[in-house]
Amino acid sequence: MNLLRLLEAAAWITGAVLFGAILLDSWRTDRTYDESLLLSSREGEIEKDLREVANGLEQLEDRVDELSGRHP
Amino acid sequence: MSVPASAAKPNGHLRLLRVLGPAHVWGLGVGIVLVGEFMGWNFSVAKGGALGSLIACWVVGLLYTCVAMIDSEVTSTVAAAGGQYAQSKHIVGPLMAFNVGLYLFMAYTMLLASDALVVGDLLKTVADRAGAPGLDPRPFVFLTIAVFAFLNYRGVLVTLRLNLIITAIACGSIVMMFFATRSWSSGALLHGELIHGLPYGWMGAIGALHFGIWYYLGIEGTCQSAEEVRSPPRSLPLGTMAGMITLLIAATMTWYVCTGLLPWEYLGAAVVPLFDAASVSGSAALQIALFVGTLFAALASANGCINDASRAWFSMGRDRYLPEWFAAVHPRYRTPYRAILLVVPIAAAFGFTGLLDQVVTFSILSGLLGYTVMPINMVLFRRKWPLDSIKRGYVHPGHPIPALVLLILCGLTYFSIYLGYGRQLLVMLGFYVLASLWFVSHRYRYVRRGAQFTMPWPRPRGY
Repeated sequence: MNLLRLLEAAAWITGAVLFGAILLDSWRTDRTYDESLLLSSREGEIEKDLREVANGLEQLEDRVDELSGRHP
Repeated sequence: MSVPASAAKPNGHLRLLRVLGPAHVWGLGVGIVLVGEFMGWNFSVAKGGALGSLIACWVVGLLYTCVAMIDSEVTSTVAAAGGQYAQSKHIVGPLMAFNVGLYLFMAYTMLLASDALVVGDLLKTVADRAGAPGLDPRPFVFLTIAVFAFLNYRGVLVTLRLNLIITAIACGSIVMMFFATRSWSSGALLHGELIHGLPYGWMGAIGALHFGIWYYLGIEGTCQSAEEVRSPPRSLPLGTMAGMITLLIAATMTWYVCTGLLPWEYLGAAVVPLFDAASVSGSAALQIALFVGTLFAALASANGCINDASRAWFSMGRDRYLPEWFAAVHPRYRTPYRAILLVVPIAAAFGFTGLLDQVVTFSILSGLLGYTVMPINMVLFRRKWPLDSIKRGYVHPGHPIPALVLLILCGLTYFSIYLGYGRQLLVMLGFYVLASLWFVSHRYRYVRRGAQFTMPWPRPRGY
């Protein structure tokens, strides 16, 4: 077998090993975790959390103002 | 044994990781595109001569500047994976969103296949020049796709960090070429003797627009990372605009050096024009730098394309525009792992065909269809939610001029593509019409109609 065929075989094997590794990990993940967890990502979720935090902070500031007598 | 949701995460939800900054966004956008500076753009020289290619470079540069401006405004407001798909979903409607999502997926998957093909062909060329002809490029096509699928699977931060490094090296090789050839000194380059106006007239210059797209194709991919960027309103416009400026400079430098060193008749048919220009310079160091630059540019593009294609497919699955199974997030690596897996066999199948021009044309046409939708999105976005109604991270100037310019330039580019690849254009339009029919008749009933609108916007004006 000459060098070129060896390189080609090495490329096939490395590619197959890497793809096989992610296929195996994917299969194990599917078996380990609940499908509802894996599919639980929702668009805009972080923004929603941040809005809730911002609203909470605003309410807290209002409450502090109220307690310190700065609020009517 | 299954681990229940509540045990894996306290709130029972998985999210993509928000870990990217403006530099990663720049690397993603420029990385996808930069391979076009190393090869492909020069076919515009064959169509319109050296001057026609420069006109194409700047006219298409204007098209992409409009794309970057519009994208920056909308994505800084609609910060979600899927980019233009998520924009269309919120602004226009489900059928438009489905089509845009499909354009994105096909554009990036076909570009990935092309990049892998380029890597395989490059290695074959090196083997041929080293006196060992007969290298089969297919194992290297598969290896390229598998390596970057593996990286993308394992996490977005390390993937885009690597992307940033190899993109910067590839960019550096173009700058190195510019300085090594002493392009500023008189007599170093031979533009006076090598450029002869427009050999095929203005029709040639219009024909050159088709390949002028290679200078910038994919810069809009920055939007796909919207959900993984730490500060979308800041990072996305900054990364995208900086990427566009980098590409305009790199494209002009590439054109300037190549047309000053190589006759336009040769340049128009060259496979690796920058590498050939380096060979003409006679510097062995420059040749090595440009070979490394070409290889890294193709690898960075392949890497970015897997990232973007998988995000587009993932976000469509999440809204059930496609089977929801694809919307899974890996609990450890926080990547859309099933969507990443899907990209591998499709890209490998197209890569194994060896038909680089056909595969790239499919990518270009899908991208162009996506750009044509953007002006409609933008006009509707400003009309339904005027500037004072919602907070935007970036407001592009001169509306509606960029939208109108984009629409006109897209029309001109369709005409240019029709001149060279009319049959492919019609076949591809037929494919998207069939896909739309399938969506309307079979898939639309599964879409999460209420839950898909996630932005905290007021009701649109005129609702």
